[in-house]
Amino acid sequence: MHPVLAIAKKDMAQLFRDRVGFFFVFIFPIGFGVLFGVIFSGASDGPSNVRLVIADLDNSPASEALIGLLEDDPKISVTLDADRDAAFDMVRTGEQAGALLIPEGFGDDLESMFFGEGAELVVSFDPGKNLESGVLRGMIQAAAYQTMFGAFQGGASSQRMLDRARESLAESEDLNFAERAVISTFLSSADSMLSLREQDDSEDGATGDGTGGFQPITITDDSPATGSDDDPDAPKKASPDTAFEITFPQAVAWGLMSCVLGFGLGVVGERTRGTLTRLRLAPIAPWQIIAGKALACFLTCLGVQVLIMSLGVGVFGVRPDSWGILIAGILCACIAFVGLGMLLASLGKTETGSEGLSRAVLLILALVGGAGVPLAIMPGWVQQAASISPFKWVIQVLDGALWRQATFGEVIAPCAVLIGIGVVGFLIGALLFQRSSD
Amino acid sequence: MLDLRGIRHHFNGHLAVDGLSLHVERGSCFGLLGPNGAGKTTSIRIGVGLLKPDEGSVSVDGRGAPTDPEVRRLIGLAPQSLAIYDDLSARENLLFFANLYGLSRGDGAHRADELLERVGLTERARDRVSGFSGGMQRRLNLAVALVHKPMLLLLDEPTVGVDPQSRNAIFDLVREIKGEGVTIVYTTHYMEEAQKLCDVVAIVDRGRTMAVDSVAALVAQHGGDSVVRVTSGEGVREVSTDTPMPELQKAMQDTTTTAIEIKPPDLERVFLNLTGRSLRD
Ligand SMILES: Nc1ncnc2c1ncn2[C@@H]1O[C@H](COP(=O)(O)OP(=O)(O)O)[C@@H](O)[C@H]1O
Ligand SMILES: [Mg+2]
Repeated sequence: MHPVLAIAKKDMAQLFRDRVGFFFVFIFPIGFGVLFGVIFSGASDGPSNVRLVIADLDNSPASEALIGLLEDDPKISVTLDADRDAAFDMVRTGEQAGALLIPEGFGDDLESMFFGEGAELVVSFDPGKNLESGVLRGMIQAAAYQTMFGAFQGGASSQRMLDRARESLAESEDLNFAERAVISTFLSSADSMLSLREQDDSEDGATGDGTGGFQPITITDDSPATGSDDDPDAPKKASPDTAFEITFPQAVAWGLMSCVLGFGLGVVGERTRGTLTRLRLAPIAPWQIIAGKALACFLTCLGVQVLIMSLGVGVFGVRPDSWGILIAGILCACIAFVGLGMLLASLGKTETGSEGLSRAVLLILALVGGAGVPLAIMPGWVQQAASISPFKWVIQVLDGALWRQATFGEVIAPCAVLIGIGVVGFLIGALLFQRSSD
Repeated sequence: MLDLRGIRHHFNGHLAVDGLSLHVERGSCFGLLGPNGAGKTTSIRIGVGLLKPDEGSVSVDGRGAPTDPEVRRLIGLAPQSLAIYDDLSARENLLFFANLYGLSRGDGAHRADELLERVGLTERARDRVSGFSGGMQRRLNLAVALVHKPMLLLLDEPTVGVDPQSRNAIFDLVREIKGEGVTIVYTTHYMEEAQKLCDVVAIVDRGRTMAVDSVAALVAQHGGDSVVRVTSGEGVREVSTDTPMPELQKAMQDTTTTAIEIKPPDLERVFLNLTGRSLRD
């Protein structure tokens, strides 16, 4: 057997025999993915406790009804703020996941929506929080339309609205016959709807899409500009098929973390247990020692990812949108974490020192990178800081492959970052390792 | 077989080896005897090419420095700090290193089994090293050094932390290996070991060789006189002399004498006379 293979094989045998190591590389991540997948699926299919700040400049019964509906939603936690700019700033700084501006005149516009320009709401979402934005967008739309229909339900007020509509219709000069007919028909149906008093709720019904340009409520998006490489959140309606599509990439992150930890400790262990002496004494080149260890790390990283993903696809209904991106992501993750492992392995001098250091660094990178809580529901500054974490990029690519419907163009940047982390980490680590061996 | 010339090496300003020179004859067993901290391990590490000396040169078998992998192939080292994988079995340790030294799978397995037999670990071949006693680990540490049939074997304190039984097994093995023509460098701070096993002993202290010669010659030259120790009614009396007979006769005529002991000079005394200090402190 080639020395590089022999070293890799030996390292993997050691890792697999170490019960604690094995547990953290394989069992714990899978447990994490499954457990949180189940929890998320059970609670609802999306994040909860999404923070929304509302600036109500209208203060009408309609705006209050809208706010009431949003406040009643268990997924959303609402804060009120009278100032538009302050509210939008909170989104920009990441304090709130979204902001809703109810402009002055919203209530009036809603009542006259059939002949006026329709009511307008202005929203702003944190571009880093796709998951929350999706939830909020849906909820606000649903609530807005519910408020609109609620206006019909309100007896007097809705009757007044319809009467006003008919009056305006009669007065209006600039409508041709066909339009007049269509609107009349709509108003008649609206009349009959008053007696039905139901019809609301479903997000799909509320989007008001099929009405060919007739938008009784316009929701204007005024979100802060996204970073250059973030995937555009608005146009795509990407959503996970199952909560496991969110939790399994996180499981992968935990598995990678434990791999790297085991690998780093293996290298330090060679040094402290004196076996590095024998390796260096053997008639093999120094690079072969490093290559053997890197290969072991690579294969373990690959193994754990393949295992977790196979389990996800085979048992938990994970359906990758793109196998190509998934495979690319897995390979890039291997590269990144081999480099990270090499770097960590060469930093600590003693086994315990190195373990403590590696654990701390990896845990912070993992948590900041979204391995624990989806990055989407973290404050903005964490999301900013996350860019230094390879976990973030891994999760981004895997999410892209599983449910965000990323294109190859969109994952090139994160993949490049991962490869960069791998190469730079490996080079620095290998250099330090060589130097400290003398 | 091994030549160190004018080796000097320091760690962070502390001089560990101070101009040490050695010439180890092919086929001999060469002892490095000195107390802890004398610089034995540092010299060994320099001798096998693990450490680059600040000054001086190393040559193995006249083929040059051990930095060359082909030269390193001639060397076997049993480091003072155990260097075996304790989460692998004894046999796996041997197979792994056999592999690194380029032995084929079959040759490696054959060699591993042979060595396990020789160090008395056949029964435990498939057990993990972590469950081994200190003596068993030492024996395996030695076996691993032999896996590629080196011409030069360096044993750095191979009996530290070992039970008497393992110790004797190690002595037997060293003699056996020497009988096969392998050159051995043996470091120790136990003078009995050097006296028992080594043809030539270098007395090392503070990174220098104080004297190099056969044990007999060292003792003759630096050992000084025998000591006659008499226990009698007057108490214990020690007399240093190169003609002990008169002293013995005197003691035998004294009716209160309860014990007479003659201590011939040994390496311990050689060390004391050379350095003014005791070997074990
Ligand atoms: N890696 C090291 N770093 C610093 N000092 C060292 C190192 N190795 C040995 N020394 C020092 O060098 C001296 C010689 O040590 P060593 O060669 O281990 O002696 P011996 O093997 O004879 O006990 C000692 O004073 C020891 O403290
Ligand atoms: Mg020593």
